[in-house]
Amino acid sequence: MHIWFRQMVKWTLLAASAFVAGCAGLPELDKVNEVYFCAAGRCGPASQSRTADEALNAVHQLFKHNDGKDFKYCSTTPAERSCAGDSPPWCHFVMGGPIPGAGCSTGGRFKAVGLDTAGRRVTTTFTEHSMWNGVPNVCQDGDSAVTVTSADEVTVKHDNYYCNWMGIGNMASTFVMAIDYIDLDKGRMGGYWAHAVVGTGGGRGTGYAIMQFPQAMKKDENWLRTILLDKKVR
Amino acid sequence: MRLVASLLLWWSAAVAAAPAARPEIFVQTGHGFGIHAVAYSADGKLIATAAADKTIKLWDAASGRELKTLGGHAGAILSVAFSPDGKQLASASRDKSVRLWDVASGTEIRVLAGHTNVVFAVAFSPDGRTLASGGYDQSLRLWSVASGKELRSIGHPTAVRAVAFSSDGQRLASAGEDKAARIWSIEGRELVTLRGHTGAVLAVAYAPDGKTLATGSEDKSVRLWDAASGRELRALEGHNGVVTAVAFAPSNKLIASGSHDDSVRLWDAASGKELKVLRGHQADVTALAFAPDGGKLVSASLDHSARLWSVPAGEALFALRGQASGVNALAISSDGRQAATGNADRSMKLWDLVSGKQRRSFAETVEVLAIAFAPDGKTLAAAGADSAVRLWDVAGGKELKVLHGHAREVNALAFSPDGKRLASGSYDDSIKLWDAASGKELRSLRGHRDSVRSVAFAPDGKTLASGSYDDTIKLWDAAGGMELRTLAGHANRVNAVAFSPDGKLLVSGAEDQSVRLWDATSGREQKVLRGHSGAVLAVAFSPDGRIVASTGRDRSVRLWDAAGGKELRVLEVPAGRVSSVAFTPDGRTLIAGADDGALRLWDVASGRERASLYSFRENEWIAITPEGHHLSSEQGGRHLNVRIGERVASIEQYAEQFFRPDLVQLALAGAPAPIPAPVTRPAEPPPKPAEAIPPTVPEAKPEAATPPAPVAPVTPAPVAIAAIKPAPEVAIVDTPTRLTTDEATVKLKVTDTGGGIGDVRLYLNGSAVVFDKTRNLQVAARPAAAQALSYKLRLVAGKNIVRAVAFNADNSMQSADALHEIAVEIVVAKRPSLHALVVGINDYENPKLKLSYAVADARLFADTLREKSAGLFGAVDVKLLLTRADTTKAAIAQELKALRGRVGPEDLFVFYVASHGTVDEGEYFLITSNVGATSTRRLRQDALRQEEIKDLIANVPSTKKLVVLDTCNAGKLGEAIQVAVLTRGLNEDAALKLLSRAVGSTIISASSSVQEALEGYRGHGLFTWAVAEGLKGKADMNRDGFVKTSELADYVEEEVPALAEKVFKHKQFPNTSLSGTIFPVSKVR
Repeated sequence: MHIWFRQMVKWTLLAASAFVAGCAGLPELDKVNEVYFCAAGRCGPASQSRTADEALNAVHQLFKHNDGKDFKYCSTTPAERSCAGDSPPWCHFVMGGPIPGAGCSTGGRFKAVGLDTAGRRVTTTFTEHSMWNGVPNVCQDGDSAVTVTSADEVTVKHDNYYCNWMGIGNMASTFVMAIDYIDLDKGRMGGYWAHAVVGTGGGRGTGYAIMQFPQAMKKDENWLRTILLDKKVR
Repeated sequence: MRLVASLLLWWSAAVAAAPAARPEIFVQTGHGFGIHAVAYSADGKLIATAAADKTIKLWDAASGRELKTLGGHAGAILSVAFSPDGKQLASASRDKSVRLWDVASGTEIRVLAGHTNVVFAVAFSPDGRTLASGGYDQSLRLWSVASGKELRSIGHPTAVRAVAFSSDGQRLASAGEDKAARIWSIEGRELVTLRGHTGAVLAVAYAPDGKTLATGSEDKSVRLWDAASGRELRALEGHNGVVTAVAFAPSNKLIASGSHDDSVRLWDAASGKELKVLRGHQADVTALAFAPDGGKLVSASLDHSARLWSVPAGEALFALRGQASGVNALAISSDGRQAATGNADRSMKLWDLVSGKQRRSFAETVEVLAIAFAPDGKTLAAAGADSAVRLWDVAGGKELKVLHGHAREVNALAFSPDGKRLASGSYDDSIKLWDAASGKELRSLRGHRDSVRSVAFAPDGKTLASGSYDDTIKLWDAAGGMELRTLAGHANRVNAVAFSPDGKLLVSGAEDQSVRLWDATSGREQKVLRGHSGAVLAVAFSPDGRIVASTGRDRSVRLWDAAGGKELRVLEVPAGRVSSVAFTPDGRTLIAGADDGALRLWDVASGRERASLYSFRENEWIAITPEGHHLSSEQGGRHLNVRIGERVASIEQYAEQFFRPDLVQLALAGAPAPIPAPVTRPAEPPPKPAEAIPPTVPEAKPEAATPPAPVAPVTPAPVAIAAIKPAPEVAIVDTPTRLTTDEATVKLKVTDTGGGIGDVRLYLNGSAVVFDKTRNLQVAARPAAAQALSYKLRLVAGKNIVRAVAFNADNSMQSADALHEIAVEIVVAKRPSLHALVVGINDYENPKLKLSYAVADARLFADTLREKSAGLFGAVDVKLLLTRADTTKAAIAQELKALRGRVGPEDLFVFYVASHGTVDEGEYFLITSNVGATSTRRLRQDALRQEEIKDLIANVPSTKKLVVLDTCNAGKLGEAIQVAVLTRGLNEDAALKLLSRAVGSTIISASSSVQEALEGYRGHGLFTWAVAEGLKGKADMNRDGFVKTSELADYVEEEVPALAEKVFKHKQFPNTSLSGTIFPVSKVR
């Protein structure tokens, strides 16, 4: 993509984002009271057997091992938490100018994974693979973070990022996911998502989805080992 | 988590008008998750803990007994505070709410909603009118306690981790994540900012005098500040981890801090000097609270416990936690008589499903995840976290073989129907087939792409099914090891598989919360059974194939119609996770194992709970019916609580009435619950029995393995727990703690709490030394003032633990223990002596009772004792009573009384009787030579009654007592026993166990059959012969040259059934009950 095009998209979207005051009106997220955690063949409520350190470290390791690799979104239910080959991406209604349509995200890629121990966050940049009415969007990289407030509270949040549809539709996106499922053995994180776009396309939606990463924890690895020896958090 | 005895005592409403007075029986489970907060009530009687399990628990601060669980929050609870008057409790949670609770009833008063994120902290103002809270939403909020209205919201620069009011209530301190603490006026004005920490401030506390403030931080330091100026006074360095908690002692002189380094530290508030480091927690310390009198400190930790410490000594007192040993796996023997469990405390338990006794605890080195009985019931396979499969001899409890081959932990085990092969499934993704006899690996089946979680053989043994974390089920040719088919359909991990008895269907349960039925031949999915709201962990088919049972993380057991897929019944389980489920082979009973250490048994047809078998740490256990009748190990009753209104006591305190192994056995056999004793009027009808499952429940088949269930038991109506009057309170007062003589006066203060004062008992080092039956005060209209009692005790050199208990007027409930330690510094000049009274009775007033070997047995026992104990004691005094004149009730009682003057506390006392013994009308009788007629009335008059034996033995002042009873239950008495066991109340085993517990002695006894009594074995009764052999050396299990009472009991328990089987072709099970001190009784080398 030419640099001029990128710049144009950026300027247009900056203007749009100023218009919407930086937040694309996210719908309320479903509340998560418990994170279900699977690692080394054992599953159970995270707060029963995992510290926040372990949860933070687990997420960090999962992202680090998948740094630069594409992950897949699977729309599923909190009961099934499955991500089979034919699982659909998550989608919601997006009005593209006068045309109604479905905005979908099939997955994305996290890069430059870092660990902010003071902020209890895994920091990264994020590229989304999204479509509108089946046509892929072009999305800018944005900053993203997974915050582990406790073993019971893990949130993925992408800062505003910008996508363009066929050079004519410019949108600013906001995304938050309240994680209720971390599965190191299967390389999955799942939770309730909320997404909104504003710009030439507008819409918002919520749902439940799994992020299926290509790399899971191998049986001879231990992603739970705490590296934050003196930075334990509740 | 609790066992609410739903059927229990519906009639209790008749004796107590308020519904709140209904008894509740519950296990002390503690928090199953990390504890985040702790608080002491202002009167020091209660402790509140709050945890990630979303509950608050109230504890009795004196005894450590769990009183109540408060549930309602939807997220982990991070802070808890008592109101100054102790009537209310406030809590803050991850669910973004603050809640107010009524302490007395345990009910939620209101939810204070307003915070938009996690609430970390709550604090009451000193006048109790205002509540402050702070949280992740960067706000401090003040609430009206009376109305629940938010009074003020104060913006905070960062998340608020802790709040504290000053003692005058005018200021509020907050701990912030921006490395600063702040002091605010209650109007919301920031007065002072305390800067100096180099990490987030996580804890804050005002000194009682209001002049100083303490803070704890991520920078591992505690800092003291001048509360007026904000000047840092001192930094207290010492912790090696984040400081999460600080508290001032009421004296102002001490500060306590808790940290992620798992320690609690005590500091001198004036000098800042570290005084003590309190270690014991196994994980982060999260919260601290001083008792109002400053004499104790309680700490909370992520290790799931709170601990009490003495202050300033810093000695660990006790822990507030559950004692349950969670059940991971369950197996039922093919005869239905035994259940084996794999437990989270690295043990396996073997239960007798007929009697309710825990027969054995096998110590494993790792957590047991899978367990299976061989079809012949003789071998048990178990496996767990260390990749090995172990085979155990069920009868002897010995490890037979260790099967190595798996690379990772083993999750699943199954024997083939012919018992020749064993299949194991592992985290290493493989299934292995083993030759069960040789332990040789036959085959390794590979195909699953993830951990194998479950395995099951088809009934014909030809096919093996496996469920895996790769979300599939596979069917294998069990002979050749070929993969036959993959069954895909589950959306997530498959945890469980089971074949129907005809082998045509397969049922599976998975993490996707579904149960699925499959055609085992074609592999076609037939039905998806939905209803669980959590992962399904176990499934089972009923023996007739009509019912499927499933369990899971949603705390339920569900029964399904296997043909139609309809949900038939949901059995709620008050436990965190129900890991396992099985039907007994007769199909009448469903058993499920859960995280709270319980095996629950339900009647399949009615859904009625029959009994629960609980395992606790350190091999303690209890079997209990919903009505409260129980059978337990020595300390097992201590972990089961009874709450009536606001009173909470251990079930052990009701043992005199509710220790009823006979009724436990009846319940397990499927008899209806006994009808309780009538009271003034039934307040409400009994709960309707749950709806039966007529279309699918198999007919109850008579089964030889279990005792016949009486159709209409004529059990004497048990007394209701609610009807029992409260026990008095007992304290040992004005009694020395150190002496240079061997005699002490022990003074008791016994306070009537409404039930009067009955017997008083004193125990010295576990053995009864005083049974005072002289009180028996009437129940006063109003509880009487405290009674002062004093007793002279002879003590042993060294440590003397005196335990006192008092009963209510009708001796149906005993008080909690009063304990006192006396150190005696004397030089003991002589070795202890052995005093034995040995009684053998062949001839009776009633010639029909004549025995052949009792005298010979008594002689054998006396001779063996003389010979084998001589080297152990300073003197061996064995008195033999053999003639009719010497063995009357009066003569035996006189000899026992005479021993009181001769026996000292250091001495050993042995009481042996070979005679008849029986239970009649719920009372045990030892038949003496003067017994003629055997009517109950005459037995009460002529034989030695249970109460009389108890008094006579208890008042022998020895701290080491052994009672051996070789009794025959021939003729009329024998029949009476058989009836008594099933229908008439207390049986002999139960009676002797009660006796053993009451007097603090080891009792070894056996009731031989008529055949054994007449035929004998080598000229003796079989039981005494085995006891003598044990004393001669065969019982010296550890080969140290001494036979201890515990070794003798173990030997007799093993040897007598084997010998009886060999000689008389039937098993005779002796009864052993270990209580009081364990001591050597003979020297064999």
